Amino acid sequence: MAETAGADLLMLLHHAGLLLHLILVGFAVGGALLLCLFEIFRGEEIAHLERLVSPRIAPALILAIIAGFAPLLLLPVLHPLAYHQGGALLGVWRLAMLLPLSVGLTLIHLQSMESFRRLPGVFRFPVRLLGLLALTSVGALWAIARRVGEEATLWSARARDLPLEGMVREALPGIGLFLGVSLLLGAIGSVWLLEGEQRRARLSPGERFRAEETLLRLALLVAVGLAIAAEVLRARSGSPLGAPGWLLRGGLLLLLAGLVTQLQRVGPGRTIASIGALASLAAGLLLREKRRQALLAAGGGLDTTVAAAAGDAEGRTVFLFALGLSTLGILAVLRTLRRDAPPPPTEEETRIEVMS
Amino acid sequence: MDLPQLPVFETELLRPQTLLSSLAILHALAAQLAVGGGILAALFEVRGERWGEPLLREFVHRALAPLILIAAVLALVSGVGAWLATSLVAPRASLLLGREFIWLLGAAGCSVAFGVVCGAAYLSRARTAPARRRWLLLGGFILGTGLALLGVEGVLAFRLSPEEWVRTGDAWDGVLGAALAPSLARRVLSSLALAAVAGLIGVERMQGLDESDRRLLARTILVVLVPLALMPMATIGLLGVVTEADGPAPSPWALPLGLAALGSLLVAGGALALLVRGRSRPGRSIVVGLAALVVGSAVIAERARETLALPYDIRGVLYANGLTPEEVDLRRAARPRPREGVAREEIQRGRQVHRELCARCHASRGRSSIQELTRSWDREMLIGNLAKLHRLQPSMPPFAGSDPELEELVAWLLWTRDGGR
Repeated sequence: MAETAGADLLMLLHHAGLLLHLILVGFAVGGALLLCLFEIFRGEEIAHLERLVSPRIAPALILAIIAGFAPLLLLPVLHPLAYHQGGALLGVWRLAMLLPLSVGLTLIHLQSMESFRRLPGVFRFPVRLLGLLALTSVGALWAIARRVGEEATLWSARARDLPLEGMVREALPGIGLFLGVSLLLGAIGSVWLLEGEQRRARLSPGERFRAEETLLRLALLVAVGLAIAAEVLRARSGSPLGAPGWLLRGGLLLLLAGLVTQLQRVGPGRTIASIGALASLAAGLLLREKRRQALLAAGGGLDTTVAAAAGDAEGRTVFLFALGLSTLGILAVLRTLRRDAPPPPTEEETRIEVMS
Repeated sequence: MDLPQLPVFETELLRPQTLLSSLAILHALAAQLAVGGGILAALFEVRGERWGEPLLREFVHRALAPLILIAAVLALVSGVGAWLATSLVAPRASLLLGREFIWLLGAAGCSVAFGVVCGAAYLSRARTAPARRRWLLLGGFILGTGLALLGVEGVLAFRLSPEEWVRTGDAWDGVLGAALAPSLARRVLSSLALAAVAGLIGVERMQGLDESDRRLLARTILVVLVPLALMPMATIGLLGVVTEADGPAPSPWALPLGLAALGSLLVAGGALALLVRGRSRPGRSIVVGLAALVVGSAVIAERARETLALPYDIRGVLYANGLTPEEVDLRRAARPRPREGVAREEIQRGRQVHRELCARCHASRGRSSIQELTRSWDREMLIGNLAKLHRLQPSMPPFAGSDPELEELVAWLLWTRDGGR
């Protein structure tokens, strides 16, 4: 019984780690994408957004990589055969991810630096765009390698049977979904940051509202697109809705309602939209994992020895203790950071800094 | 031990073992530099405050902080790469490590997340926050990354001394094996040395300093090089664990490791001499020499650690080709298969034997492939040498197949040598 509970905990941690990874990656990629879009279409509004979003992108990406270790560590333990069959078939693709990851992380770091933010847009834009492309290609490569890992259990594991073209084609909508969700998370995160800045009296309500309105309209557009895509995909697949499906619908409805409410400034729209976005993301993840479990069940299912791996009660206690303590520590540090935020530069200081 | 047979990753593009070693060494160096950089930054912060020397804090902001950041990012990316490569090159070993130490590795991940958040917070507030808060954040960085180092080191040291784990089956006995203490001591000393050398290079390159400023900075850094005098003890401890398990034959890595430890002793002695002499500091050429010595020693030590367990992945538990000693015995004891069928089938069976026994380390073609390594051997030499490879080359596991399987492997090798695929 205890061992089964341990295996369930491993699965829960896999999902939680993946969700956290997606949220953080979404904020980082979405933030960079927003800055690129603002650079092109809304040049005059980018200053506030850049000051708020840009320095937070790199830490979010680093934490995303750390959170991503959870599924990377748990996947081979939970599904060793499928994971390693995927590795045998597409190991080079998995390793190829390292190059765009290094490039993307370096460029995103570069754009986070204060001195870089003082450069003219003509320099900043290509760096962000390249970083964005590199990180998107990491997502695409992983999506393809993951699909192969899922399907590998159903094949004869001979490389010549690998329907690689199909995999690439199938990954394309996934990349669109990844960018859409990222844009949404980046926009909602930015709205929260703008509000925080106004509360600390660094922005006038007018400045906040102007930038916020653009972000909310963009988020609304993306959310409507995602909702339509989700319904079309479900209708095409013909599969019953199920609990995660209903959660996805409910989450998307909440998201839309929250965004509209925030645009009208009549209630706690920001909070509702955030809850809706997180619920939709969690539901999407559950739906994806459900599909994966179904595929893996056809190829033998969950590794039976995983229960033994999860059954180490002492190890579990140490982990949960470390998890709790780290979470509390991180929250305390974030609270300190917010409390100690330095005063904003005056216009004169900004002018001198730019001139220097 | 219930380990499933897992598929083999094989490519002619690159030698998987080399890729894994390179990523593991890069990860180890970057992670050590980040941890050591944090300790050095804390020393500078505390001394700067106590001595009333703003220059020491300025050095942290301008030189050490970017260094820690770059090292941490590099460590993360190479860490992802090293784990991916381990699961490709040594799937059974990585599965065993994952199963046994999943909670410990998870705890290490939590620690590193806390450390990274503290480090990022320190970097963003290094110029504005009061001293106590800066120290707390730096302390958090050192604690988080240090605990992660302890956890990961425990798993790595397990590969060298799993004896107690074999006896009890308890994961904690595996982590707290005989190799942990000397291995961890070596890592911490190496972290300090790498950070100190990077710091000395920073002192040389930093603009706008006069000679007395450079001397103050360099002499503060030299202090952390003195503990390197303990490196030979840690090395003797590590080699002692390995030798005890292996018997009287010295490890082939004893000499390089010994030389690396001697180099560390020289560095510690030099640092002490400069500190005692009072007003001197290491010149540019000495810093370059020190950097070469420290980085060289660290790389040799990491390479040695990667190969100390050979011919095993996990000493006494799992051979480098992914077979357990029990499986080798079982395969050898199995009744020889009757050699019926045509030559074509013999070649196919030979290819299968290669995939099962050799392909984890030696691809069929390309660099360090089985073809390349055996190309000067004729049929008789192939049969004779492959059967007793573990005696010819101590880092190789014993050939685990039966006599007919050996002949099938040789038939396949000769066939592919003639251009067959």
